Amino acid sequence: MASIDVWFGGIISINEVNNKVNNKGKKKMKIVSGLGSVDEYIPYVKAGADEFFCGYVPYEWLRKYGVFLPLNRREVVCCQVQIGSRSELKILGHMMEKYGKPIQITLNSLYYIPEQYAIIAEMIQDCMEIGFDTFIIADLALLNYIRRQGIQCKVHISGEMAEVNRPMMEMLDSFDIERYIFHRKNTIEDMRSCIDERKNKSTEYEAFILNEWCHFTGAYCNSLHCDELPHLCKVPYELKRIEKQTKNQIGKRMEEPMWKESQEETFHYQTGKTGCGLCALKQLQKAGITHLKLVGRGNYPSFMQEDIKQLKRAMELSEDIENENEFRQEIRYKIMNGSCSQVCYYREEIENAD
Amino acid sequence: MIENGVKDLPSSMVSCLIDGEEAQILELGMEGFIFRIDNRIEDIQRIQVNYFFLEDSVYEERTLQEFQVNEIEEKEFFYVIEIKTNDNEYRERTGRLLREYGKYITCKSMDDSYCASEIAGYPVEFDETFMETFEEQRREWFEERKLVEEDKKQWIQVMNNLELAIAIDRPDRYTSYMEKDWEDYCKYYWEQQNLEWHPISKKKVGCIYIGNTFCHKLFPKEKELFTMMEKARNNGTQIVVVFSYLRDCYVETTKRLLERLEEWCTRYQVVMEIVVNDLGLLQLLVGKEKWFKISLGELLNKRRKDPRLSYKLGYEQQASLLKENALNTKEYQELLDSYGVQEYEYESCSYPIKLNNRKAHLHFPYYQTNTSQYCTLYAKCHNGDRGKQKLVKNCPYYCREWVFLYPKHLKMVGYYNTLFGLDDQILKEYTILQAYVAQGLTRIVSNLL
Repeated sequence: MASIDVWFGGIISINEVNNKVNNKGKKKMKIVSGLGSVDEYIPYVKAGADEFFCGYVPYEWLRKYGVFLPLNRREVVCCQVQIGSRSELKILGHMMEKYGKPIQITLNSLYYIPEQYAIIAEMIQDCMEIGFDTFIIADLALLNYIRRQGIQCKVHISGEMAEVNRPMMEMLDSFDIERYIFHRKNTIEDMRSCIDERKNKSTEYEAFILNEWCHFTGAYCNSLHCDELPHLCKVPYELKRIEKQTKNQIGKRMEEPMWKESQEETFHYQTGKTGCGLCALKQLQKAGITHLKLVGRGNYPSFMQEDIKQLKRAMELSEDIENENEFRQEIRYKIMNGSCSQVCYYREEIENAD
Repeated sequence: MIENGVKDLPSSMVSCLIDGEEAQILELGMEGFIFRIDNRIEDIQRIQVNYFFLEDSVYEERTLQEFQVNEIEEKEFFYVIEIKTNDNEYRERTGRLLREYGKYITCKSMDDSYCASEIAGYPVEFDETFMETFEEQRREWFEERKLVEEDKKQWIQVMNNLELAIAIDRPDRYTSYMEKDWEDYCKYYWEQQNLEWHPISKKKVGCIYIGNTFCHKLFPKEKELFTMMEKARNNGTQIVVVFSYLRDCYVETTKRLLERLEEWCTRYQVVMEIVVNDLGLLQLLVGKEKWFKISLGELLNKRRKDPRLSYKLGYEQQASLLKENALNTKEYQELLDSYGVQEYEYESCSYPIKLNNRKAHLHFPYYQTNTSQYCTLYAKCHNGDRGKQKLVKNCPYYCREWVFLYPKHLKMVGYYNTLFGLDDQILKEYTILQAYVAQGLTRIVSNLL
């Protein structure tokens, strides 16, 4: 592999230089993809993913706690959504060594019970021995515990932890955070404000870009996610009045027939069908986002590969087209083929821009 | 080659231990299975197969009494090994697992409700019954019950050990509170909920929680806040100011408000309780402990909450795991102590909770299950779709008129940006509060909607 010397005394490859900075001098954002099993790693790398995140739940944990007190937020048993054994983790470790695309282990349950913290700390150390040194954490108690134990792993703050704001980051900085993942309901304006204030820090920032938009916020979602029952947000509901008689008619539009909410379940691929922020790529980059989260642990691998490729194409378009409106048009026609899902992560920004 | 083997079963449903090393099963059949492992194993001594039986929600293990290692294939990153066995127990359990998994896949491919009904026995037919209005729903939930004298005495006794607070948490309540005489307001508060008959309503309200835990747009305007605080001070009512999550765009405004609250406390030489539902706010309060007593709010007191918990397979066996959460951890308590957190806000959520050993307040009878900073009600009323959300800047307060009603049997409601479950048992059984008092509970907070 060709390499060049750089002033800082290290040697980095030309590819790495190209990856870090694009031809317009902006830092290139990286694609971070969910991984549901070992078998998905190589195809996703080939499709263009730069980094991965996956859950690891050993049998001992499942036997003891099932999915009542899960290790991470993929709280199901009947689907392959995470790495299920130490041997699989070692296999993944070997793949990571060869392909060089890092993998973060997701430990993003909202809380654990006292006896679990020591077990998780031990597990983290074991993962580090195998070669996994980065963990996505959503529970402040866990973060506090592992740092108090002197565990020097890298930490990414999960989008499921809490509201993200400048003082929150200031508080968490004392725990030595490598990356903050903005949650699904952060505006780009708030992201920019948080990042701007921290220009002298080397922290990385990740934002959601594709799939699994939720009606509610992960950090405040305490209901069941399990195999046998639908998520609480999917239970049928009706918009009704508080009282029969109302004096004011607030929101006349409510009297109009409601738009159809849930599309019929279809199994064909559509980019961003369950959540999409592609139109906002340029704005995210300008705000200082360094990594883009492509959610989908447990999705069909062929869909995920297509998602990665589509995201890569969209990022290339973003590099080629300066004008934001023109870029959005191109996304709709070239990436969405004119059939935008309308399930927007960054609705406000797009509406304002349009 | 495994005859009629089933491939790609989730590792959480079936896995194996090969001489103590966990490995993934790639194909499972009645005669044996194929697994992969990262290192070459020359002489396997012991094989354990771990099964998950969905219907009982339990894991069971089987150590094979006899087996043959048939074939080993070397791949780039792992070894693939085939095991054959005549172990009868293995066959029996494998058969059961495949049957249950097959049933699950068939049900799931129909739809979620069918699956819930077939697998968990969830009464999907009840999901079609809704009330017409929230008022009607509340009337049914809080219908008057005749209490025998002994029960009345017990309620009075338990309430003697507790301070009673009410949440004044939305614009119409701010207005009523400011307009009405304090005693009239309290009477109106219980009557409006059809709970004026309940023994709890007979207790004098000693404390008010001003502000909203779940929605930042429902925090009172500054002038309203200070007017309410003045009124409460004049009435001798304890004031608790409740802050929700803190959007970054409101950080500066919040800092200024905290300064004004501090000035107010200094002027009257009173310490004010602040409920914090945001880590950033906790950071903003560092160094302000002189006038503010900090309580950790419900949004940061995370635990599993769902009105359908009893339908979850295995709930009875594992329910005891739910009583504790991160706040019962010594190290975390110490961290929160260092941020000046002295009190904790809990919610009554239909199962017993182990309080931590700090001062605790219990909110009842509703418990939050889901919240969105982008208001779901606004999205539905304004955009016609609950999912078409964005940050609400100019809120028209659709929540004054509209709610999301849920199937009657679930006892839940979608109010403003949040889903709430109702724990009506706490209103029926005084023993629940008695048990919390025994744990050191000092205050209950009515969060009636």
